[in-house]
Amino acid sequence: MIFKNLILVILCIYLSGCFSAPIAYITNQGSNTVSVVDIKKKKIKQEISVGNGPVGIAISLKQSYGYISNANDSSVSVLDLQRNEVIKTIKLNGTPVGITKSSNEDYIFVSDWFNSEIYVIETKSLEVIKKMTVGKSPSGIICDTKGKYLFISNRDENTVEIYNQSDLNLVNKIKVGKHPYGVFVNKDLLFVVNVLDDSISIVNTSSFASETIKVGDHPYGVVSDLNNHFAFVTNTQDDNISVIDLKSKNEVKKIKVGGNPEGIDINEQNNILITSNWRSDSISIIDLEKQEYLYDIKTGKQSRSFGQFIKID
Amino acid sequence: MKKIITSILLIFISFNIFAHGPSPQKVEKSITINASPDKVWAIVKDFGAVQKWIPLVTDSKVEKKGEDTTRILALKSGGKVIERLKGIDEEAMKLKYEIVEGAIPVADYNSFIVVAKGSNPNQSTVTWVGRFYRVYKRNPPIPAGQDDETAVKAVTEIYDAGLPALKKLAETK
Repeated sequence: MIFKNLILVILCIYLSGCFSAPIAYITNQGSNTVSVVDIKKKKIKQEISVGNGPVGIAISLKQSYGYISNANDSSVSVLDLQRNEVIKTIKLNGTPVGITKSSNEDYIFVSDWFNSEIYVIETKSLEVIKKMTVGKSPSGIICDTKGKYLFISNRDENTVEIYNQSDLNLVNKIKVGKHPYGVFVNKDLLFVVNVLDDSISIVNTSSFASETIKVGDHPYGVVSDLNNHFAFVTNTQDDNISVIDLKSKNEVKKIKVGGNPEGIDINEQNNILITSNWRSDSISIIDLEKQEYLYDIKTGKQSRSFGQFIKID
Repeated sequence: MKKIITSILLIFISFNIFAHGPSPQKVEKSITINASPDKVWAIVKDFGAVQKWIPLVTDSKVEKKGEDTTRILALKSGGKVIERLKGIDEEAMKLKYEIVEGAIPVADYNSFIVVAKGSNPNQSTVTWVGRFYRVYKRNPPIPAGQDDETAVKAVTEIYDAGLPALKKLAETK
C-alpha cells in the first residue's frame, strides 16, 4: 500500500514536471518522418514514419492529434500525439501542402497546390467531407481563433482569399505580393509572406486594407506574438529571422538561425520561438523576449514544419 | 527552323520559371583546398569568370541592368544559362546567385558558395549548396528528364566537376 502510494506520488511529480514541456513536431521531407522533439531536454523523443515528403502540420489540442500533409504521396497522416503513432492515413488526390484546423477543431483544411482545391476533413470521422475550388496554387492556410474566417494564400495568382469558416463562402479576395506562401493570423492582423518580393503583407481583417514590409531573401513562414508587438519571419535564403516591430512597421533586427529556415512557431508560455531548418536538418530555438538565438537541435532530414507545430505536453 | 526552336525554348523557359513541385531538392558539396581563404575567395567571388574553373562552362558574359548583375553562361553541352548575382558577403566570404533561365533541368534554383578557413592559414574549405525544384510541376506521371532525379543529377554533375577544378586552379595559381 505504502509502495503503491509512493509510486503515485512519484508519478505525479513526474507528470507535473512534464506539464509545461514544449514539444515540437517536425516534418522531415528528406526522411519521411516526424521528429518529436523535447525542447527543454534538447533531444528527439521519437521519430515517427509518415507519408512521402511531409510538409505541413496542424495540431488538434482537443484530440491531441497531429495532421501531416504529405506532398509527394497525396496523403494526410493522422498522428495520435499521446502514443506518438500514426492512426490513419487519409488518401487525397492532388498535392497537399498547407494544413490547418478550424477554430472549433471540428475540421482540418488542406490546400491542394496543383489542383487548386481545399480539402475539408472532419476530425471526428477522419473522413474528407468536402472539396472546393479556390485560387491558383493554394499554399498557406489558417483560421482565426474566433471562428470567423479561413485565410488562404494562392501562390500563383498573388492573392489571399478570405472564406467564412461557417459556410465556406468567399468573403473577399485581395492582391498581395509575388508568390504568397506562409500565413498567420492574430487578433485583427493577417500576415502573409511574399516569397519572390522579399516582403510580408499585413492585412487588417476588418477593413482588408494591407501594407507591405520588406524582409530578407525568400521569406517562408511568419508568426506574431499575442499582443502583436512583433512579427517574426523566416528568410530561407539568408539563414535568419526578420524581427518586425508592428508599431513602427519596420524590420528592427535579424536573428541568425540554422540553414534554410522554413517553418516557424511561437510559444509565449515558454518564451520561445522555433524555426525548422531545411538545409541543416535541425530546429533553432530562440529566446522570444531577448530576441536571441539559443541553440539548435538535430532533427530528421530536410525539416520543414509548415504550420503550427509546438504543443505543450 | 530557328524560329521554331526559339519558340520551343521560350515555352520551356516560361514553364521553367513558374512551375515546380512542392518538395525542394538539395545538393551540398564541400572540398578542402590547400590555399589561403583570401586566395580562394578571390576566385569564387569573380562572378563573371566561372569559365576559368567550372569545366562544363565554356564562356561567361556579365550584364548589368539597373541593380541587377547577371551572367550568361555558354555550356559545353551547347545550351545557355542566365544567372543572377544575389549578393556578395565579403565578411562571410559567401556568394549567392540564382538561375533566371536556361538549359539546366531545374526550376527555382537558388545557390550559394561559401569559403571557410581550414585547419591552417593555407587551407580553405569551400561549400557549394543548391536548393531547387524539378521542372515538371504536376503530379505523376512525370515526363522523363523533368523529374527530381534529373534535376539533382544535373546540379550534382556541375558541383562535382566544378569543385575539384576550383581546387586545382587555386592550388596552382
